[in-house]
Amino acid sequence: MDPDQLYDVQLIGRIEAGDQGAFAQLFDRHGAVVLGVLTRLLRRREEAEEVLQEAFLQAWEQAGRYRPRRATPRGWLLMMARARAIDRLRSREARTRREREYPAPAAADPDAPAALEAAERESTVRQALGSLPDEQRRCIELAFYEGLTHTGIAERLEEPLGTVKSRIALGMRKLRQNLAPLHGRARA
Amino acid sequence: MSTHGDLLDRIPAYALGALDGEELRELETHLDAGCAECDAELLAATADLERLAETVEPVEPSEVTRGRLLRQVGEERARVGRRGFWRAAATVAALGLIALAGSQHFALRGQLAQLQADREATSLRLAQVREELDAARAEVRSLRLAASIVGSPGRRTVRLAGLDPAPEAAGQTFVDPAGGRAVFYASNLAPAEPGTTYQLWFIADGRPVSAGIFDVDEEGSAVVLVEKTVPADSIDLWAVTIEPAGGVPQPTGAMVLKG
Repeated sequence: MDPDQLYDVQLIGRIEAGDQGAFAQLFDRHGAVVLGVLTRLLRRREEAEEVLQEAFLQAWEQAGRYRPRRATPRGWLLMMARARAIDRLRSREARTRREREYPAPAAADPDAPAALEAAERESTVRQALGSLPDEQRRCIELAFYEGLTHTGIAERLEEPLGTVKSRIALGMRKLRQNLAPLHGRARA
Repeated sequence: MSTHGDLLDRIPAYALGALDGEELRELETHLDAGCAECDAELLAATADLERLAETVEPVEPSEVTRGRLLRQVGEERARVGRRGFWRAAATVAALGLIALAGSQHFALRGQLAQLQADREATSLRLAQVREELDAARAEVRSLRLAASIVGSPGRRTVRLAGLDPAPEAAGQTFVDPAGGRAVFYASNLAPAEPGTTYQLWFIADGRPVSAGIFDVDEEGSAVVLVEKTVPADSIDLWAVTIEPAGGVPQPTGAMVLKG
């Protein structure tokens, strides 16, 4: 763990003891990155802010359950936030199956300039994903950017479930190697 | 029933949120039972998730969301505090009933209660020691960073003067223009009243931006490390105000330091 992560681990320890100042710091250090991911997933800024609030409240309540050996602090926050966003996407999808066939165009995003910048940054991951076989890359993109499950990806791509599972497992391992140069990069 | 290898392979998808149903339940049960190999894989997978997240443009949360969340946390803390009070009251009442019963087991129960009380006191002390240790580590790190900012080439120094509520107070801010970080020192400030806190602000382009909340030590001093500022040239003013505990998105209270 780098010094930033160690500091975050200490903040989470202080949050467990009820330290509101530590909580405010944790939010200020990670809120923008988590909200960026949520906005990309949900494509609705207001809803993304609601989920951000829910996820950080969960972090406050469950700080005692955080285990540094099992997740990086930001990774822990991202997993909680994404799980909530993905739940919302599923209920949204259950309400209207149309979205699967007619995805909302990017132009409908109220944060169009932000969406454009996001698209530019996406090219970075596309570079890192570039050396993956197309089918592995596609599975990971559908999971990360669209919040689809194994089953959802199999349905979307009309591929057997087992194939999708192994593509994600293999693809993520390779991606780890490809993204390694980004590891030491300063945080946003 | 999946093999351990199956469960291990499933972890990257778990970190991505792509598991559901029985596969998810099975893996979570396995993780809860404790598995060092799977823990290590999950740690690596969350680092991958962080890197993927870095490819998406960050979106600064609105002050409304921040303020609402901090208020909620404050309320939650007060509620849990009250729950703790009722639990303690219930324990006292239960011990009272035991005493009233006056049975032949009285002495034994008294000892048990004493042992339980001792154990609770020890746990509490242990938690306090852990907290103190964490705080000390955080402080060492902050001081190291602060020293690096103060010693950075081209750093700017801003002096803050005490205002009417605290005319004898003083402050100084060192801004590292390259790193976008700053360190603030305050002295001669009285401890914040219960339910309030000091909040540091910088005003850039006419807008106040919160730089953190703090309280002072026994000598009335404080050090605040500001992780992220705007370019030093666009900061017009630094100020400290007295605000409700937990801080606020925009300044509302009396200003005690300005410069």
